Amino acid sequence: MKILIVDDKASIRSAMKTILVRLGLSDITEAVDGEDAWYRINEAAKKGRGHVFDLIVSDMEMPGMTGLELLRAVRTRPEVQKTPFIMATTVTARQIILETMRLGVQAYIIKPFDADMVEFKLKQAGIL
Amino acid sequence: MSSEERDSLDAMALEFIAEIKDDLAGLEPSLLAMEQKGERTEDDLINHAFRTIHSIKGGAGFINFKELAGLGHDMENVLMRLREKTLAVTPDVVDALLMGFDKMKLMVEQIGKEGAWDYEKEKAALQNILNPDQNGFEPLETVSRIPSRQEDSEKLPADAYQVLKPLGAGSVFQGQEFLVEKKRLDHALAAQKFIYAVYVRFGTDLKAKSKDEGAIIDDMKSIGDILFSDLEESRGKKERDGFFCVISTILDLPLLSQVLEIGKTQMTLVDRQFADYETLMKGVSSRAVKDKPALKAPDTMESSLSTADEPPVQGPAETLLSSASAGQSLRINVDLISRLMNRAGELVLARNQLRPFLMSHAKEDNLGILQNLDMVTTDIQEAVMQMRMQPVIDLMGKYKRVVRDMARRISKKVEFILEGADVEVDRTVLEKLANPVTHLIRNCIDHGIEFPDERLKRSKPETGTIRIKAFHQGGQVHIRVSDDGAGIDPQLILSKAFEKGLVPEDRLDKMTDKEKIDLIFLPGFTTSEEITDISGRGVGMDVVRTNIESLRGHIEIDTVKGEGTQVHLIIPLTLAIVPSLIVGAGESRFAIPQGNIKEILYLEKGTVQSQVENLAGSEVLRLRGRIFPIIRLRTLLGITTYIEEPLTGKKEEEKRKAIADRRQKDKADKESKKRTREKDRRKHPWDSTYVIVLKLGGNLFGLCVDVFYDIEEVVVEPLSEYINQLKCFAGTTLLGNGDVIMVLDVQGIATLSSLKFDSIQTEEARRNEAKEAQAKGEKRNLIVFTSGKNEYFALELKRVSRLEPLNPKDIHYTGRLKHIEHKGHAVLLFSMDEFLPANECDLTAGEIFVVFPKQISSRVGIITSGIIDTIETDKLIEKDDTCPGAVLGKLFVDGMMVQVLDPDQFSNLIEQKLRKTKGAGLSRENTDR
Amino acid sequence: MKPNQNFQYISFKLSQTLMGIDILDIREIVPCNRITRVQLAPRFVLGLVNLRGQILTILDIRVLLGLEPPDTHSVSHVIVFKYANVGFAVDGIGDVSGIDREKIESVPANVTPGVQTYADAVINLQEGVMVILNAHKILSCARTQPGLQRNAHE
Repeated sequence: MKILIVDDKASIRSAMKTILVRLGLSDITEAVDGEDAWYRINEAAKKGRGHVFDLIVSDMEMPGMTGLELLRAVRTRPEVQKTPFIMATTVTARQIILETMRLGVQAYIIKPFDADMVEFKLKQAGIL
Repeated sequence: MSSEERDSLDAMALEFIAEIKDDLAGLEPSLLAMEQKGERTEDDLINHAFRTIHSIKGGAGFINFKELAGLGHDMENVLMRLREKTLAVTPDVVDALLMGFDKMKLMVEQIGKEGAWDYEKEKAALQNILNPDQNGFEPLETVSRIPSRQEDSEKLPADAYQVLKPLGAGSVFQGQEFLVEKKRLDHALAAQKFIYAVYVRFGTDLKAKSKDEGAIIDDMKSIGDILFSDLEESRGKKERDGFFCVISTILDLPLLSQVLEIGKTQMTLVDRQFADYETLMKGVSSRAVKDKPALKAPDTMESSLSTADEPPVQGPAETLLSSASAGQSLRINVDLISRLMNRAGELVLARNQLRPFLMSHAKEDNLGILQNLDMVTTDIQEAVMQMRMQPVIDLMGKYKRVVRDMARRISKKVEFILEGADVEVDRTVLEKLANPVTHLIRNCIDHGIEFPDERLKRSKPETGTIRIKAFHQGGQVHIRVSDDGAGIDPQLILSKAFEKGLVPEDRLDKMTDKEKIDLIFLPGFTTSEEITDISGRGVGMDVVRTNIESLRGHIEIDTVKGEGTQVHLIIPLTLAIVPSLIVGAGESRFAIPQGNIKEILYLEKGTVQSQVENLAGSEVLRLRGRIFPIIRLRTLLGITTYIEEPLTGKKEEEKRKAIADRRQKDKADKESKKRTREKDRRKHPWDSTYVIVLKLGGNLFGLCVDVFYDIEEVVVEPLSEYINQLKCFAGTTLLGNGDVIMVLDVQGIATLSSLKFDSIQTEEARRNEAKEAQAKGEKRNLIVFTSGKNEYFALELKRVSRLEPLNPKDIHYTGRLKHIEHKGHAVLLFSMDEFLPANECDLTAGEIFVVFPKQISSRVGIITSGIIDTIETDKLIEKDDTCPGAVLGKLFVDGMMVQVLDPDQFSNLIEQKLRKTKGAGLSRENTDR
Repeated sequence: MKPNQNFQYISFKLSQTLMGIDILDIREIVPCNRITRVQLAPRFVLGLVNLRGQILTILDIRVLLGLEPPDTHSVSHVIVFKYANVGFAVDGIGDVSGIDREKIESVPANVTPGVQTYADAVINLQEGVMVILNAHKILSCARTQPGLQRNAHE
């Protein structure tokens, strides 16, 4: 299970990674913002089916490409369209949530999160 | 939670705290600036302050610092209003913010102190600034119990429905029950979705917000599925002030409330499902006792509201961080860490030394001891190294912002990509990389990436890309800074360097492109006049190189004009343990880092002669089609060898000086250098040798050694100040037996030997081309003809348009010009003696032909006194300088000497003649006399 | 020179010359075992030595002082400095002695320039004149040896 964690804060990435590893998901790639993530997603897609990410966990507010924009990009590109996507953010603005849900996410996590929350959400998303 | 887990959580907390401290540090100046500027405060400043507070608030949440998060929240609200411009920057506002900031700072400094924090004063001040929010919901009305049923167009059998009961305490749901389609319910449950009952009030939730039912239904559909709705039923009924829905969604309650803009008291989960989730949602801190929530979706929803299936488990607190262990960070003297590191390295070596003893006395229990020792030693070593290692992104991550800001400032479009963000590097190395890398990036933006319109003109995307790629290879850290900009023009560099007097005139023509580009590194290349606002003062590529070299690294530049530039930094991990191959030369042994080794060859004495060639002044070896130079380690380092006198068996020391030594002294005397090298070759025939094939960037070269041993894990100590100028060594190390040996620096060796990879490649390519040309052995057809007596000429048949027989009588003469009529046109005739020193054309010969060469006007022909033959030859006719211009060379065919004409030269001569003819004023049309 | 009454030094022999050095500058003295040669190093670097896991740089004082050219390694001991992982090789080790400060004289003019640079003083003893070397100056020789250093690389 290849997972991509996207957040511009190292501490959050680190926290999420630790949690995921403890849940038995160890193939984790980190991206520092939307563009970095999109780049990696594309590179993986180019390599073929076996290399694409099985899950993307992303922050919303990041410099440059936001999580929402990343989600939109993912949902528009055929090869990665169906990638399960989890948003982990502090943003609770109505429009954002609506937009995110319309594009389709498998879980919407509000920060701060902890191990149990993440585990629950991953189960909700059908990952675990 | 295991102690290990607790520790890593604590470590995470420390990280968060460190970030909060950084944020606070950055916040104060912003607030002060706001105070100073008042109404004139720029948007950027406000935004920055807002983001920082937001970040602090977030971090506080993670470490469960409620008061900090709460205070942050209040401050954030104020800044939000400032951002929206619904609040002005007045002294009162800034006062309140600063007061809040001071409290935050105090909270963070005294983190972990007993007891709750009081921030009422600050909170009050902030809330005074804002108007109180109208947040409360209207008091709940009691609703009469009306069993609701789904409005269905199709009637389904009764057992296709499931009754759901809301769990919520909100009075609006008292006694309500909903009937939903079982299939759809099961579907939602299987997908682990939340199932909520929601009450939508027509007045407060819809009309007051200018929404209609359709809108809210749409929203619900956007975020999930509607399993039940009694909208139709309740419409128009006066006693109903709203309608119920049952929806399934992945959103948590707060989010649902946000999206639908409906108070949380009007929504609740249904039945027993996810009851524990509510506790989950209450927040990280309150789950002191629970293990894991019961997350299985129950099979049926008919279970009653009885107590939990699982007895509450007294488990260890699963909080992210217990406030007691919110530790302080520790400042450690870097020297102390260095000391610890050295010791750790020695511990590894000591263990290595101990191992053979333990193994030889191996018994059951000993092996266990050894394994344990192994584990502990490795662990210590890794932990210590980790202390100093930092991921590259800590430095590079910042560049994203830097690039954006810089590019925007000069109206260029640039994006920044970082690959290998998690590559780790020693802390001090990372710090020292900051300046050089920053400079490189500035260069990319300043000089590399073109302006958007120029890029478009060159069919490049408008936005330029700067990419940093970091990776480990061969015990070194590689950092590549590349851009897809204009590249570097070697000629421009050369002329600039020449202007500055950095290149002597006689070198101008002799430099390769690479050498020209390397001129950038010369001190004095970049003068302060050229420093633009962006590039900063006093930093040139020479400083960058010095910086990198002070880290014992190297820098290389690759560039293609018009396409982009790549700067490659290679820095050794000096404090790492590097697996290395131990080799021997003479009596000495050396270590070669394994990462540089491609393979090892063995050349037997006697065979060496035939395999080693000489190319562009270096000795080279051919390996599977690749050619690379080889160096003898002995020669390079001046290791004395002992020649055994064949007769007496006496060993005599060969007094030879190292190549390097010699070079220094004989620098001025090229001749003697050549002589000594030749002498070397004669006097020192090859012995059997091992060739270690080393890779350096994209190049290969071979290092000849006498013998090689094992690969050993070696702790590389940096060279002491007395010898650190020696480029051929990367450091020193101790072998298992206690011997001190030198660790070779592959790059240094190549430099010291002046390996000219470029020249070798070029020469090789040239030779290959020549061979190919020869190999192609095109069979050319030549037509051989005579002009004067016994003189033979040849021209490639493919350069001949046609041949025509000629009757001398048909020749018209105009002065010295000869014409014939051909197909109604006049054709000028020339003979060979008009171009070359040749005998006059013999027009009395039996058959005269006119040869019409291609590429020349069809009105020109060459008189020949006879066509001898057309011959086929594959001989490469090389340019013979002894022949006149138009003649390519001489061939001997059947005993005849044939001068092969150079068709291009020949054409030129004819063209010249034609022009002269024209100039003489005689018209070619004038044929008749 | 240290402002104490009694100057304590260790004496040793180097190319037949009697020498001494302040014991306060010395970490230890070890018998000289294998010295690893460093090819292409400046002449005043004799080589490297392993002292209980630490790699020490051993200097050749004879070269620094300009004494007669060193023959092949008639080294008996290595004197290790306190301040750095550096030591120097000697032919023979004497004793630790003390001497009153008044007996110490400045270096006479008729010595080689090397001795001028690296020696602080001389002591007139029964056995002859002992040259007292300055440890710090020796340690910083890398920076002060323009001619002798860097003779073999680019």
